[in-house]
Amino acid sequence: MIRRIKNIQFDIQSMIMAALTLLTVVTSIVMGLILYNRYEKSMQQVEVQDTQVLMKSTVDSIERNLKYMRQISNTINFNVIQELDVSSAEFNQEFGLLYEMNKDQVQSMALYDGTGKLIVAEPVTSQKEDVMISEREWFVNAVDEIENIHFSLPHIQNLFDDDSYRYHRVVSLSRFVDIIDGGTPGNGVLLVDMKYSSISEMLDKINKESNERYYYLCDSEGNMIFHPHLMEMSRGLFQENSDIIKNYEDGIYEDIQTVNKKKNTVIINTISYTGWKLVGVVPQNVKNDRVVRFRYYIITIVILLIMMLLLINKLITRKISSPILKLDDSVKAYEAGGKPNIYIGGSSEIRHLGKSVQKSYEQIEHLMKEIVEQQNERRKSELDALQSQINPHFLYNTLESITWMIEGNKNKEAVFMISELAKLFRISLSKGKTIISIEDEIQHCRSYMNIQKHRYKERFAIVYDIDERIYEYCTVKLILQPILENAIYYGVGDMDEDDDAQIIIRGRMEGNDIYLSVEDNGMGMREEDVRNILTDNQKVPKHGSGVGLINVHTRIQLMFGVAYGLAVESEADEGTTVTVHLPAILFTKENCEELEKSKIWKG
Amino acid sequence: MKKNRITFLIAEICLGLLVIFFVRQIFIDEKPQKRVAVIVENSGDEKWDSFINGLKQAADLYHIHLIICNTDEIEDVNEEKDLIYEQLNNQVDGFIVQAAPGPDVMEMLQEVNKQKPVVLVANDVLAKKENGNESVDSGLPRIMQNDYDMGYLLGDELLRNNNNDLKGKNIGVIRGLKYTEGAQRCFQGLMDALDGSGCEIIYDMYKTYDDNIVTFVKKQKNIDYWIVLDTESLEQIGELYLNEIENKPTVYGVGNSMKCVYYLDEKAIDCLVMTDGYRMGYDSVVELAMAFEHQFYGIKSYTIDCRIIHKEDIFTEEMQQFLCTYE
Repeated sequence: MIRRIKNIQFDIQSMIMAALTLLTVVTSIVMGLILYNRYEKSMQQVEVQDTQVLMKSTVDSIERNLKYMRQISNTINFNVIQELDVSSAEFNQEFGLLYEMNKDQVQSMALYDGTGKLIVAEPVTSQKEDVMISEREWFVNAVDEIENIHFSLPHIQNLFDDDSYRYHRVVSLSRFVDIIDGGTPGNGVLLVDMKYSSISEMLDKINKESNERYYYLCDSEGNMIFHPHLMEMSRGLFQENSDIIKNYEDGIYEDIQTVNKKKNTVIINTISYTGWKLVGVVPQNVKNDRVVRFRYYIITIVILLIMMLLLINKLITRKISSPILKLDDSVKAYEAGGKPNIYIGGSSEIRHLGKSVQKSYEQIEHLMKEIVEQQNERRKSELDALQSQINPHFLYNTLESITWMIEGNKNKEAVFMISELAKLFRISLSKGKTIISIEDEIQHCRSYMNIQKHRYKERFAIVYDIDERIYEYCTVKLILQPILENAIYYGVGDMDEDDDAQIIIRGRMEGNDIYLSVEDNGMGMREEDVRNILTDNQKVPKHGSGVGLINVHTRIQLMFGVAYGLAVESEADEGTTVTVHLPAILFTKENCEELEKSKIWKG
Repeated sequence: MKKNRITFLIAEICLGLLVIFFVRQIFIDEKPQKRVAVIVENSGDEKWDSFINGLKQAADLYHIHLIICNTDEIEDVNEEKDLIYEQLNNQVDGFIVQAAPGPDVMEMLQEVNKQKPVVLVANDVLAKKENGNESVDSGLPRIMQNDYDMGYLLGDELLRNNNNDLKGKNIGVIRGLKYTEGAQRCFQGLMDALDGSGCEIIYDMYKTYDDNIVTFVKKQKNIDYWIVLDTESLEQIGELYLNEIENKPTVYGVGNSMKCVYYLDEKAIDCLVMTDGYRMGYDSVVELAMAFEHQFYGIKSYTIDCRIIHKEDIFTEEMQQFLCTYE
């Protein structure tokens, strides 16, 4: 997969865009997370501070409440029990009066003697039959530690009959008291049952006002006095780690793990005198409404930021990559055969690059032209060299023949010969041009053959079968003369007069091609010689000027291309036909100039 | 190049849609609280205290708005139907219902359940008897005590306290309302427990809304045991015997109120079986809350524990924790 991705070729715009996008997204998300985290922590701190404030006031209220209960107990003890005889009517009256004054918070008040026997109780009601007072924990505590007021845990009061057939949950305050019963000093235990609702309502209220926070009250041993989930706890639906909390002093404790593995911040405040602990629990991972909304704000801002930065990235990417892509496109266009118009634009670096590429391509073009020109020059030189091979030998032979004619007083014939020779050379020279008309080439043949016929004493006939339409087309000069020379030397030159030796020169046009042929009825050639005659093969016997058909063949192909040239057909004792294949190019000034520039015609 | 442009546009459109979504989330009001109607007979009765405490605690925890319908007796399907459809018009999202007496309740509640989820509490719908003993399951979720087990537990306790010998003992049974599944199954459990014990069921009567059971009980003579399978009836009998503890028959009963506990404490009742009403209320709200939260959540049925209580158990710490939900 990674290899496949590596193999994918991305353009520069995509790469820059991808890199910038990645950077943008990562940066935006990280920024968002940092911001959100910071806000969340602040909110958590605010939550903890709020909890602290609320707890402080709650602790004050509870302490006030408990202090008030202690004051009631003290008032009963010091102002009633220690002042009056418990058997007196005044005692009962005072005792009842105190209950009436405080019955909003007090469920019941009772005074027991040292054995647990009821002396007086308010409200006045009958005590249940089988209640073992002396075994009650509050009684035992009071007797064991006589100097203290003892607070019990909340419990169902099970002492008196109730007209409404209900039970009451109370917190019992018990203390050891000295009494005078019928004039006899003794001791007993004063019980003030405080309504549990006075504590639970207070804590219920603060719990209802909290969102996910909650507050509970436990004693110094971790026993639960109030918990908003007390009923759930008794059914295993909720668990609290008050066993751990009981060991903690007052303060704020972070990362306290609950039984459910959730982390909480726990604030502990101890209530004086009782040692009860009010515990505020602030869950760390619970998001309140404000935090959730802020999370949406952050996400929205991050997305908007990403959108905006993507747009900017796009513009920057385009600004950077556009000149590079244009440069690339222009290079590709040049490579595909277009003109070397290399894009030059954009930043200074790209401009410099464009200019360099442009200059390089121009230099390449220039060098290419130079190489082509050099090649053409070289070819022309070769052509000239080939042409120059024709003349010297023939000229020597002809001049020798003319000499003989003059010596033999054949002046008329000599004049004819010289006249034909002059024509021959006029065409041969052709003002140094390579391309001549076919008419001139045929004229050159005629002059040449006229000279040769004199030399060979009319031992062969010559026939011209030329379509005059081809006269006005171009040809490379001096192509038929070497063929005729071969026809004479290898064909009809050695034949007797009786053999009716004959050379036929034909010229015709077929479509866009012109065919010139030299046909003799001489001795012909062997098949092997025919195969080798157009190659540079040393096996082919060479006579005369030594310029073979290969010379002509090469010149035609150099000028017109390999599609043109010579074709040789020969049969032993029957004769030989050499056909010249040329393109039909009108002999105009423009065509001649073009061909002279050695541009090969590729029609 | 064109591909890049399309990718860019798609990305921008997707991000734009996300922005719209989150902006909507910012300005959207809080989800309205789900409303659950609670329909039980005599909803103000003390016997529902623990149940309602459980309902309220769970509702508070799961942010459910509870509508505890103020009801008297629900004597038949039509009365319950009226109450339910009144709440349906009140746009409630779910129901916690005690099935009314009568055979047609099942169809009615099944019909309601198609519109809004219904959880049955306290009393199951009367299963129609087909081909003799076959009972039909309503398919409605039930969060309630096993009435059969309660009856059986009570009978078993009676046997145990008499050394499995009830020969010659006369027993009077007071059931709940006629045509209620609970009353039938509880009685069946009791009968199965007492089967072969040698006791004789002298009286077997259903509670009615119109008649006070005390009038009937007072007229009966020579009864050794009263077995009361209904809270109100047990409270009435408890009150009757509160001042005649010495010369009263032994009373065993099913009761779900602190008054019953008080009578047990005062020996007017000798043995009490109580249901954990708190758990019934709590679990029924939790199940509905889960159904509201998860579209494909299937509300589960639970059997609520019941426990046998004797006088000496009342003030143990464990029992105080259990009973504090009844306060």
